[in-house]
Amino acid sequence: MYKVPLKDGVLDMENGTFIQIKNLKKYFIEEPDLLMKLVTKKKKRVVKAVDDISLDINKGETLGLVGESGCGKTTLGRTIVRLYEPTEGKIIFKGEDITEARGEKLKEYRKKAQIIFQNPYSSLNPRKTVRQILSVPLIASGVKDPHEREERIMYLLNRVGLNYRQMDSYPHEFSGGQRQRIGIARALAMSPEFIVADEPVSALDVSIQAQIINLLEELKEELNLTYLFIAHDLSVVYHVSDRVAVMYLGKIVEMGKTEDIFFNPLHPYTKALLSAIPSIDKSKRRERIILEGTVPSPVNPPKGCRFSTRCFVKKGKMCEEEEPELKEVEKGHFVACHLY
Amino acid sequence: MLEIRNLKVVFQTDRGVVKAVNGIDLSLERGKILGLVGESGSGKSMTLLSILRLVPYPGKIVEGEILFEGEDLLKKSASQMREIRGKDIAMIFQDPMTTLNPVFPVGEQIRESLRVHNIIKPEKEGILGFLRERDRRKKEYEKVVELMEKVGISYPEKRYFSYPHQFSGGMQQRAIIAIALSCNPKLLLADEPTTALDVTIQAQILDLLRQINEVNGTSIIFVTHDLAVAAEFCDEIAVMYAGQIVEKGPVDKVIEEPKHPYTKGLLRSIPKITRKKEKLYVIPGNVPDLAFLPPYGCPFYERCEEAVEECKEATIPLIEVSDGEFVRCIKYL
Ligand SMILES: Nc1ncnc2c1ncn2[C@@H]1O[C@H](COP(=O)(O)OP(=O)(O)OP(=O)(O)O)[C@@H](O)[C@H]1O
Ligand SMILES: Nc1ncnc2c1ncn2[C@@H]1O[C@H](COP(=O)(O)OP(=O)(O)OP(=O)(O)O)[C@@H](O)[C@H]1O
Ligand code: SF4
Ligand code: SF4
Ligand SMILES: [Mg+2]
Ligand SMILES: [Mg+2]
Repeated sequence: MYKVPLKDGVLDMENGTFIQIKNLKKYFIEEPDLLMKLVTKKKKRVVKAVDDISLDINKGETLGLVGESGCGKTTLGRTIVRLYEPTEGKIIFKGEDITEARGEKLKEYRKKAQIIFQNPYSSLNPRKTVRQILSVPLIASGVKDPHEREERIMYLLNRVGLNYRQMDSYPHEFSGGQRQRIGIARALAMSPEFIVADEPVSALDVSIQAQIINLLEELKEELNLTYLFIAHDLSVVYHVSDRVAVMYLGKIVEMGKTEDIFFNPLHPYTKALLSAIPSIDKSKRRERIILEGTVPSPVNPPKGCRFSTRCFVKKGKMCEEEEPELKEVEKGHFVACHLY
Repeated sequence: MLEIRNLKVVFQTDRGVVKAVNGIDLSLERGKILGLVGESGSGKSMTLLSILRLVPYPGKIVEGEILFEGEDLLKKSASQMREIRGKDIAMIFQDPMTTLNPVFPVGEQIRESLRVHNIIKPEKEGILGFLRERDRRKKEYEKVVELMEKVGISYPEKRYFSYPHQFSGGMQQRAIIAIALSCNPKLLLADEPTTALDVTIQAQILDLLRQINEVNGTSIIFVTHDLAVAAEFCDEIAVMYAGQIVEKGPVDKVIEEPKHPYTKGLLRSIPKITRKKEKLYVIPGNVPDLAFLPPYGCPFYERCEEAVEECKEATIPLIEVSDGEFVRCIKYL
């Protein structure tokens, strides 16, 4: 069987901080269209999707990223791989500042930093067959020989749990989960060093999810890969992550070793998140903290602690006026809350 | 209220005939929630789409009956089906963007569904046509805002004119639920409505759907690949594999005493939050290619750890092992 080649540089790389994110911000400017401008005199809005985030990802680790819909996970992931232009802050990849990289340098970076997209429906070109979709990154990463390419495609398809006989089918002939597998195969085709996996198993059923999770872990070992793993399924995040970062409204509210986050959560939001996990085991169904409302708009985030509008243990004025900083309260365990 | 008998859906493709739904029997009582779980490609969506007769080309319903309140939907005319869709039976589609049109504001799209089904009747009184229309629009607008609020879209007035792409995944799903609820349907078909959402929102949406179920008595067929969600949310569970139902029954039976080797495998492969992390159990092999299914024998044979020689040959019916509990496996014959 074909084996994924180990890239030279990867093996020699010393361990240590692989990616450093410093005070990263990504704001979107929403311009109302002309008609709306005339009718409502609306001004443009600034969506603070990622608002001052700093974190490190170590070589070979998986950092899990969780948080509510709209809190900016995808934006953070896409900004890190430079699909979005950062508004402010720095992205340092293997000691090199790539925040403003252009041209060849950006192309190189994008090869090393791949992304698996959240939506398996819109991320694949409907007019291309699976063979064509996978050929593009293979050619780009230097697999020129058609025969080798074919073998590689067969390997990749098999690896993500697809039947190679469907190589010449179009995306619409696959169900949602099958399409996501094509997306994963496409990201793997580039032999990347770093993968932002944006909800990679959300659309997959459990048996394939287990395969993909095991596969991603095997590949991580084999290729010394580093992951930023975004998922809403906390059991999955628990399973794959070495460390976990919990995001709320553009900010990180808690970060630490996976065990610390799951068995000793400190931030009220993390506690609520964990309590909402559905379980097949009746005895494990915890007392549910159902949070009221939704995440406030990132256009006008609440003053003070951003979670204060939904917090169930709020400490009064201080929470509404002062923004808590992300502090290390136990070794390697960071939390942004006035309770600590 | 709903009874599906021996439903078959096929796709004619270059590779051959794909048997997407291969003889499904299901029934749903009024006010109940039925969970349809199964692997990707097992035919869950096609089963749901069949109920509304929306199976996409080149798919075709080739056999079966779908009785809704005693009447076979497969015998209805196209215009009768249009009446039923949305009004009696509403669907939450798997892909939000097949429901939401990217070029119209979300609120207007919800209003459109009220208009199509004539929910707010135009007043007979009123001097001028346009005044009547203005009045009706205003009422529709208010109803939309109420619906948006009900499904948990905060600041509905502000978001009425937002476009779908300005919504995050969870908010898009809420908008879709608002559209589905706009006509107060008797049966709600929900295709993976919480799959793309994180748990707190999932808990809310499940809560919301449960409320709709309890308050309005809406029956729900809930498609999901997440057994834990099905276990907590549904009254009954049907497990699908390769276009067939392999096990169905009351939720406690299926989850706590699974009988079919496939159901057992699925339950084992779920990641659990326990101190000791283990490599996940994986059901060996892959989903079979539905275009190359053997004409007889158990379709799970290749992957089954409990298989015996006879499984390859026999055509196995759905066997009732206890009251309301069915299994399609030779071991229970
Ligand atoms: N292109 C854009 N223009 C304007 N606003 C945007 C854009 N993309 C995202 N946003 C907004 O930025 C915020 C963060 O969105 P993002 O998609 O990163 O969230 P997420 O955490 O990935 O959510 P989900 O779990 O739903 O995928 C949201 O409020 C969203 O509406
Ligand atoms: N346009 C098509 N042409 C050929 N086969 C198709 C087409 N659409 C669907 N199929 C096949 O029909 C089968 C059933 O698809 P369906 O969408 O119902 O699966 P599903 O159970 O909903 O899966 P998922 O969980 O991934 O949504 C699949 O195996 C798929 O390959
Ligand atoms: S800072 Fe206050 S409002 Fe924020 S999470 Fe802590 S207690 Fe709750
Ligand atoms: S019939 Fe045989 S192959 Fe099929 S599930 Fe039962 S034991 Fe396994
Ligand atoms: Mg996202
Ligand atoms: Mg489906």
